[in-house]
Amino acid sequence: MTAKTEEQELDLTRAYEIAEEEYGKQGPIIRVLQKVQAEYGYIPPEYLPEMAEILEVPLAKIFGALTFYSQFYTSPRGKYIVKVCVGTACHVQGAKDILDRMKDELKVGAGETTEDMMFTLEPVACIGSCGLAPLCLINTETAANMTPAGMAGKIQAIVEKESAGVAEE
Amino acid sequence: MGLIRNIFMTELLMGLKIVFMQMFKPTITLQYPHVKHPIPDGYRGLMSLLRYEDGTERCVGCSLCEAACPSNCIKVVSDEVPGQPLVRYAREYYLDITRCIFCGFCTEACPVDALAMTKVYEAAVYDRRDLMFDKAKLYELGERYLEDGKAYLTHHRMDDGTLHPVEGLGDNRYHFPAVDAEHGGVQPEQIGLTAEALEVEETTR
Amino acid sequence: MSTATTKVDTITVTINGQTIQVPKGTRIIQAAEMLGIEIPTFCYQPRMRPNAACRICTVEVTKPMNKMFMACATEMMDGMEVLTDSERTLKDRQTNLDLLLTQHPLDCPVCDKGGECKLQDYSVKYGSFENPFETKRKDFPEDIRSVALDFNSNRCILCGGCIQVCGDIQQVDAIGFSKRGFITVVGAPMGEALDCEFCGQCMDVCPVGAITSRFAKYKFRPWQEEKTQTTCTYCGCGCQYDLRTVDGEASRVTPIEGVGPGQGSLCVRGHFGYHFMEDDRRITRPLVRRGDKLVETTWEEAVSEAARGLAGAKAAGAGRVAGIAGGRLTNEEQYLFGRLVRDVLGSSNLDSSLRYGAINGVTVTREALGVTGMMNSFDEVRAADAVLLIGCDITQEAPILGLAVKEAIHKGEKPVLVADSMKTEIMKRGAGRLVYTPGTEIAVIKGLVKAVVDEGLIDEQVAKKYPKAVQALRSELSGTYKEIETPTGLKKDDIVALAKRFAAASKGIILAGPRVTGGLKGKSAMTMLVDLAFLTGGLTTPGAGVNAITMENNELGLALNGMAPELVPGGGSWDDAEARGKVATAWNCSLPNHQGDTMMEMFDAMREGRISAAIVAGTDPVGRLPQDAGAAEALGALDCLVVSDLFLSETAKRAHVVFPARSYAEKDGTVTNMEGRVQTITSCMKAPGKAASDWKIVSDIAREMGHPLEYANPGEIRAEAAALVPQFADTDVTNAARGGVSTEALEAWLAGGFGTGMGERYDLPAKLNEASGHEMRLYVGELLFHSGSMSTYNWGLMKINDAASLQLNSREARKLKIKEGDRVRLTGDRGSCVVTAKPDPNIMPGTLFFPRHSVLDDVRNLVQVVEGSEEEGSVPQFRFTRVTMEKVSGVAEAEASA
Repeated sequence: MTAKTEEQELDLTRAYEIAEEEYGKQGPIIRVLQKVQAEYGYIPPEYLPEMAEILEVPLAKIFGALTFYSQFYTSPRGKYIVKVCVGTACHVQGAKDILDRMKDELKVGAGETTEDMMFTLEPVACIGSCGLAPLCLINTETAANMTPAGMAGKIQAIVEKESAGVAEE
Repeated sequence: MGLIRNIFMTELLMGLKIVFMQMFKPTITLQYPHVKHPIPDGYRGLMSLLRYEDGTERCVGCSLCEAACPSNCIKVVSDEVPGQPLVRYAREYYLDITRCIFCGFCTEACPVDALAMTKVYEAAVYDRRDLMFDKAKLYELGERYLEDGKAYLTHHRMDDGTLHPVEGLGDNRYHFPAVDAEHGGVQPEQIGLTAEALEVEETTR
Repeated sequence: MSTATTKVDTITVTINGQTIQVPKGTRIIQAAEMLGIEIPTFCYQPRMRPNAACRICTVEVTKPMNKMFMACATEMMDGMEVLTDSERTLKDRQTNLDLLLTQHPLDCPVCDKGGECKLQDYSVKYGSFENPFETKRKDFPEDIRSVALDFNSNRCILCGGCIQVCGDIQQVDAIGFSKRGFITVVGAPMGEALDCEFCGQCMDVCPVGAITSRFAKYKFRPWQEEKTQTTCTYCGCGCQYDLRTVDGEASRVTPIEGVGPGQGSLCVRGHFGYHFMEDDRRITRPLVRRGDKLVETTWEEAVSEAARGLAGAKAAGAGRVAGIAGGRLTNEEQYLFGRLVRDVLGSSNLDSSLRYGAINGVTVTREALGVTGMMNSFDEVRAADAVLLIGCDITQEAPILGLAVKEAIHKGEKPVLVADSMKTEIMKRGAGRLVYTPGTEIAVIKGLVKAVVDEGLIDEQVAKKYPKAVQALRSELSGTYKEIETPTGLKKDDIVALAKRFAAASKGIILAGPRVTGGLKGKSAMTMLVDLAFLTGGLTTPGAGVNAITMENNELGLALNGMAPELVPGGGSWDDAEARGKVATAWNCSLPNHQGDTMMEMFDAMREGRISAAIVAGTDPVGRLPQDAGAAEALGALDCLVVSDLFLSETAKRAHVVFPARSYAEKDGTVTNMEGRVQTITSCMKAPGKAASDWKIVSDIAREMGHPLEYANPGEIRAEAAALVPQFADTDVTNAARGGVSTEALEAWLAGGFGTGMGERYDLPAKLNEASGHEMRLYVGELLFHSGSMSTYNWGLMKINDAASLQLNSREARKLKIKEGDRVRLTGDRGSCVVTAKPDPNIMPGTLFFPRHSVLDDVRNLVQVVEGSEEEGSVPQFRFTRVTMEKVSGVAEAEASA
């Protein structure tokens, strides 16, 4: 991750503009963070000190908000976000096995992104469809009553589709 | 009557009877200092400081013994172990045996079972200054009378055995906060609630 | 008491059956405190808004509703009834503690808070010994990366007190929460090592051992410590704190909530600067000169040699002896030192560290307003509507007064107006900002006065009551703004805008820093500020005013003790025959009949041989002034130089007799802070070797000279001094409390032609911002971490900041390709030197800043001293100079040194 940021210096001009637009308004921190995340897909940590300077808000407060909310990400994320529900109902139905299988399959830990920036594995607390447990989400597509093998198949399908797409190009 | 007693010296014979009776009984006098009484476990003799099996000092320099001492005979000077940040120890430790009343409160106060009393009671010296025990002397006593110390701690188990697991002087090692001078506290990569972080959270919910 | 007499804003409440009347808005915990009932709390701080995070203070309210309430956050209602020890309250309290103890590690034996930990105390008092909850202990590594503060997140109970004190009181927001839930940790943002002002207030408010001091790590147990309340002697604020000692060794410093000027706040120097007393470099035995060496000797011999030298010079003629004293001395020592010079040695050549600049602030307010020192108290600053800071980097120079200003910012709409030559920390918070060219303070002040006069901002009542004085001022300010705009680099509109904002406030306070009083025409500049305050009603409105801050600890004591040739004890003028007569009567002597030399004049006289002996105590003129001032040659030319100091200072190195002096922790006495508060210092440590209090040294010399000044203790000296200096009679009373400005003094001043030299006052010096061959302006000033000589002997403070680096504008640095750590050469008219550069966005382009405390004398010696005229308080200007800066490569430097 750190190696990547060294490779390509991120252009943060737009992010600075966002902060400047919000300067002086009430409670700007979360709004700015959300907008920056919408723009960049994540919040580059190196942006934060400058953001604090522009908004004249203590860096400690921004950092506190950023790390408090699980909606904010501080590293680039994959094309496909694989969410594995580990809430109570899914847990009872064996969500742990699915998560473990996914870790093996993608060779990443929970919350991490594969090296090719394709998949991000994310355990989530509850999606709210406990009737479909165990439940997984690939971006917005729901995968209900999943098994470890079923999920592995879905991942495989995406990998094949992606590599085919690359070949076509 | 009195005359007969005087002539035959009956008092004397009566006394000698006891003497002769004792002559055939087993002796109970010990040839101290050549022979000594066995001392029971838990006897409160001279104080000693103990080490772990690997030789590290048990004492963490918390000064609780000093606080517990009713006769103010203990002085602890605590510090950080040089080169080992956050590890606490007693840089200096003094125990004035001339003032010690051998109550054993200090051993009770010790959270790491570093203090134990030995079965040594012969503290007489020619120079009172020799009775001012310093750290080296106390550790030396602890090494020499390790068995006494172990027996003492086992005997005086004050609680249900959880706080003082002294069977064979178990570890009971102090858990100092870990030091990661490079990445103490929050690690930069943990900003985004990464794998480890999330797992900690999960298990504790 | 009948309800009829009850005021509308008081309410009657009952706690544990005890009824009390409290003001409306009182919270339960405050009312309980008034009744002497203790309610446990972790996060409540009397100085801050309730945080209501720890929930341990929950108490049962039985009337008007039956509910549990947090005592720290609940404002009481009339007729409220509270139970703080009911069964329900105790049950809740116990549950709260149980929950905290599910996480809190039981490492009390190695925790530095053990013994004074609130969680420990409450657990013993209110807790249960069987925790019904499952324990889950954290095992984060302890963050020991910062130099002074260690963060142990495992012990943290997340009460947020540290974050609040950092944000609300210190207002630096250096720490915050990160993450959430079980793994929430407190620390510097971005997971980086904490690098802040290190005021240590977070550590003080921490109820558990989550934040501890690196310097005192594992070195003490609270029950082993002895507490001594004493006064901090680093700057003029004079904060009260407990100096704690274990077996006579300083273990740490703890603040005292709600006491003294700081009200429980301390800065980095106060908190961590307690190591110099035990430094190995202390002088422990008297030294005498034998050839070109100083050798140890007996006390008696040193005294007799000093007395012989001084007596010899005295016998050779009047005024051949000089005395220079410093703010390190207590009031009593200064008084006795003054008496030694003027009475025993019969010389009027008595000066002090006041001459470095503070004299102008002190004499102006005394002459004009009858107040020696600040006319406002710190409390009044806290309550001010507007604070105008000029040439005053208050958070560095007087940190605790800085906190008072910050508190004023927090109240209302950021009323702080700052004019300075660099972007100071307080300026970033201020509402009005003026950044001018360094050294042009006087022009800025003139601009402000002019704006007030021209724009009709004069206070109505003042205009009505003193029309003549206002008219006199108006006529002085007829010039154009051009002469102000050119040197200062400011625009007329900005100056006018700032003046308007200041004039609009009803309680406006002006704070002038050392760059005003110690700058060119410092006395005029300060007098102009008095004019400004006068015109805006500052001298006639309670709670408003004009103040000069002092830098050294007991500079005000120097002024009150008359430690300057133009002053006499009591703070009166030497010219005032009556004041002089009073002193002569009290001392039963005849004072010399002419005014003595000021410090710079003394140096001239020493070089020319008119002064042949001197006694210097508690200051280091050679180390303090640039080489250009010639102090070294002057003092070196003496037949006899007697110095008393803690360390072998530059001055002491040139002495014939050196006495080892005691530090504030080893002597008793009183010191006066910049508010005029006389506060006691109490000895609690053993002086090293033969070190003695300065009063004792003076007394011994006087005895040897056959003119005994005998006292049993400092209290006796103070009693004698109080006859001349009424301020010494009572402790802990500020000037403001003594009555502030006397109307008679003000009116006399106005009637007497508005001070002397009115005509010249508003003439700007011709040399202001004159461009010489060198294009950069170098300012040698103060840092928060170091105040001068004593602070640099603290290994702790040196660890926090030993930076002797040259700060320059970061944009300019980028242009010149200078990075942090690069070496640059400074060349001025007085030589050149090589220093390490440190780009800083807060320094203005064309300006360089170098900390004064630095042992690198080279930079200080670049400064060309401009001697001040007598009308301007004879204050030498030695803070600014012009230099040329160039980057040097490593090779070039190596060659140069070779």
